[in-house]
Amino acid sequence: MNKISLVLEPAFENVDCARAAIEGFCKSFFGKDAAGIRDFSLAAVEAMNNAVEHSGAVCIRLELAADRQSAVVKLITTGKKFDPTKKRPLPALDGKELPEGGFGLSVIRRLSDGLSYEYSNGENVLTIRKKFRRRAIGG
Amino acid sequence: MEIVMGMDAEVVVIEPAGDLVASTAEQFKTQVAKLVEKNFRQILADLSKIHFMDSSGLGACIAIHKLVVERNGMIVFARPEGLVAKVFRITKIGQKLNVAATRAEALAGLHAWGAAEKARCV
Repeated sequence: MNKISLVLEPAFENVDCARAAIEGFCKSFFGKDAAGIRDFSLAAVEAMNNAVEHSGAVCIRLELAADRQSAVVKLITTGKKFDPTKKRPLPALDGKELPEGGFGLSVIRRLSDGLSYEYSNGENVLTIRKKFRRRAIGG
Repeated sequence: MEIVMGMDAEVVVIEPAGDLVASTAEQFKTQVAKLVEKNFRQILADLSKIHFMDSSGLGACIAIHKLVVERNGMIVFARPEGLVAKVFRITKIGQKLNVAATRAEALAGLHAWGAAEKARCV
């Protein structure tokens, strides 16, 4: 299992940097599955954006790991307890006014292969798992 | 994100390039808001150079669609590809916005709309 960790201050610009790190990490293992890497990084970005916008956390910790066929990102934040794995429907699109937000959690769910959440010792831990088609290099 | 703008008859063609994400969504919205303030009512947003879009970027597309429609205009999002097309599809927003697979298709729709609006106002 290969791992890296990142700590970022909650700002959208830092989410962009973290995304570059996630994509680089995944490319070194699953470089031939470009679409899978994009999906995984988008799921992680949505989770980080939520943390930046809503958690009130002073920092966001990311733990990224990969094995032969999958990658896992753990997003760890202090701040308000929030379970994103609870089923929430897509925002209603049949009203007069189109909603401009509320899509992030659906995107995470649709683009990942596993999602779990736990809250302990004042920390939210969201785990996103993605299976990849093939391993590009390394063992 | 870089934004290139041009004109095709009365249609403003706006072509953002790069990432349409939480850190850049406001820039995209502001640019279109400026066009609307200047009374441009036919807008083509060519998304083919957007390689990564999150739900904040999607929110920006929805916001500018609403802004343009509120001012009695029309905006078409042309050439969403890859992840952009996927986000449109999984959120089902692609069914609610004016989306065109090609720039020619988008322009044809906007020119036809413009001609119909002119005829209606005569």
